[in-house]
Amino acid sequence: MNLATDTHRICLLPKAGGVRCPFKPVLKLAAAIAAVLFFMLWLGPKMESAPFFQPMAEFIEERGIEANMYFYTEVEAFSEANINMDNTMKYPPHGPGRNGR
Amino acid sequence: MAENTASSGGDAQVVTDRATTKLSDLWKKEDYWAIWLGFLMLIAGMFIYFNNAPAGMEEKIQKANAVLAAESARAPFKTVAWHQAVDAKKKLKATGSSIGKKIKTFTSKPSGWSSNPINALYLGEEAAAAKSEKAKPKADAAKAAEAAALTEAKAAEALAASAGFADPALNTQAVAAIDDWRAAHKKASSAAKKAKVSPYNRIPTLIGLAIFLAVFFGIGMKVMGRSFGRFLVGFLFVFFIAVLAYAASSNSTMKSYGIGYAAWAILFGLIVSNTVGTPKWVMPAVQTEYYIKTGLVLLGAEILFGKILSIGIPGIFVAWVVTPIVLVSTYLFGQKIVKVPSKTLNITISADMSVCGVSAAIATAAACRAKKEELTLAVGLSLVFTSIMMIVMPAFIKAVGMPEVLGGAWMGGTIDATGAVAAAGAFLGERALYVAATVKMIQNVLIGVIAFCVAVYWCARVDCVPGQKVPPSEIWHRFPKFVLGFIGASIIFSLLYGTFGKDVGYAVIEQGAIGGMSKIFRGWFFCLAFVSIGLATNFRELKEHFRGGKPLILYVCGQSLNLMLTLLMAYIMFYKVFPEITAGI
Repeated sequence: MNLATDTHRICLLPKAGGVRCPFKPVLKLAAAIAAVLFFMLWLGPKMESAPFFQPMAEFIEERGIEANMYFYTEVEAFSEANINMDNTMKYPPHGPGRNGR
Repeated sequence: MAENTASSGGDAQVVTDRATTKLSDLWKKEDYWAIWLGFLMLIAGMFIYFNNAPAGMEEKIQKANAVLAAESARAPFKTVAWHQAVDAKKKLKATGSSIGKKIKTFTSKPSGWSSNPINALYLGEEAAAAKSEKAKPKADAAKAAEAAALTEAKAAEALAASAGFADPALNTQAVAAIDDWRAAHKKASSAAKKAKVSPYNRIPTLIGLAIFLAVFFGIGMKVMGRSFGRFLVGFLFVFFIAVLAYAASSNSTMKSYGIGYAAWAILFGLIVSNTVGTPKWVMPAVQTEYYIKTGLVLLGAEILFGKILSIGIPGIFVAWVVTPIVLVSTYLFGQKIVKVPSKTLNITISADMSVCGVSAAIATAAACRAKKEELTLAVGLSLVFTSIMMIVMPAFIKAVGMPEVLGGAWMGGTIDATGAVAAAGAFLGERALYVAATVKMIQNVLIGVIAFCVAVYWCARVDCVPGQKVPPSEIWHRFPKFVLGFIGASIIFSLLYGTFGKDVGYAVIEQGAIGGMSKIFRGWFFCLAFVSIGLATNFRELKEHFRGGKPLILYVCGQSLNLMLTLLMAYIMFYKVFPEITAGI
């Protein structure tokens, strides 16, 4: 088999015979997509069920927290926390028998 | 505008930096186009939502505030009625108007999914009904648990009231029962949302949005002298990758890891450019700065200075004193000790680590004109450490028995990504969430000041010959003008927020012009920018910037200082100087 002319074989070898392989970029793209899907659909969920991570993952899912957002306006929990804090500062409980809560 | 001119003088060739400003810059430069486009959206948002305030808003606010005033004077803790009054105010949202709902539908991102990626874009009636049916038992159980918890909370509160709130043990029991009810309430709200699944098809609206955004940015491109047609064709590809990025970030597992659209957008862009190569016909739409700057003008509107006093003086000290100290120290450490070769990389990582991750990195990188690879590196570092800190910090805080308020302030001041702060804070407890979220939000507001200071410092000190004194006119010429739009939007919206007051501001600004316009489009613009970064970046160039692991060393050392100083400041402020504020939270 002539490696320099057999495109099918050359594509699996890096820089084989110095011949440019027309399928190599497509193979690279396919491999990258496969890696992303592998992480997203298999490795990610597997790691998610690891004992150190599972409680947090379940909590995020249960409460529907947008844990991957970047600014406070994108996270519903911030809006709730903020309105609560604003009202705590404006209407702090100060009734009789205040015990520090 | 800065121009480099070379002149020969004997053997030496001297390069001088000559900055000029022309009137035509107003329509020829993308900095100004970012301002025009950003403000166009903000004005549209204000017009739409200020005219569609929730029905009976003023009366409902007055009624809720009367209850809050009475309850805060009646009991020594937040009563059931106190919480219900706050809940009533939370429901007042201009985005709930019919036009608000239409805008939300038109600008919808791919939906959440777990195992079938198609569900990011399409969910049929049968599948939606099956999902709802599956979630219903859990929602019903959560609703019943909430009702039971409310009954217990009311009973415990009545018992404490019957003793005139003079029995500390009964008061403590009532507070615990009310806390349990609040936790059950949150759980029930979330479960109810999951049991209300409607069928959807995002494809037509995404196509419409792509055309709208292509024309929106394309007009600017045409006026700036580029081809509208070529931009339009390329834009559709960039937008398609952005949709994929949003779809990936909507995956439930990726949400848990805190991996957001920015990381996916860069990754998908990198995959294309480093495998098959970015097609030439796409390049006219690979306009990183154009998208980022327009997004930053919108982000300015979300920076409301009235927020900085949300938790009183302790919050200012934790977020506005520690953060600049850590930022400057890390930058100097990077220059003097680690010797990071690029000043722009150094300041981008320092801001990213000390302020609030990706959004701070974007603003700082744009203000100092950092390279796209440098922004990518900063975002990558932030992503990795955010995921780690989101898991480790709450576990550590629980293990050592640190108080919730202290733990919340510590996490809010140190975990980079805002969403991760919410997750880690809520995991620790409601009080931790309130404090963590508020500290983080105050820190978010700091972005405006930092971006402005970095832009001025870079124009006056960094982008000039050592020892050269740069006159104010030169600083103006060099100054990235979009920062003015960014700061201007922040000032205008802060003034409006202050004028309206917090309650009305929440309903028509936060849950109106910001939530229903600025936030949505800013997200898309940043996503398009990160796709563009990926499409124009080579892995080899990226590797070059990571040489010697210096960015990692800088990040780790800076974050260590951040962790120590924030904890110390939070302890002093919340437990030594202002314990009464802590007690009221």
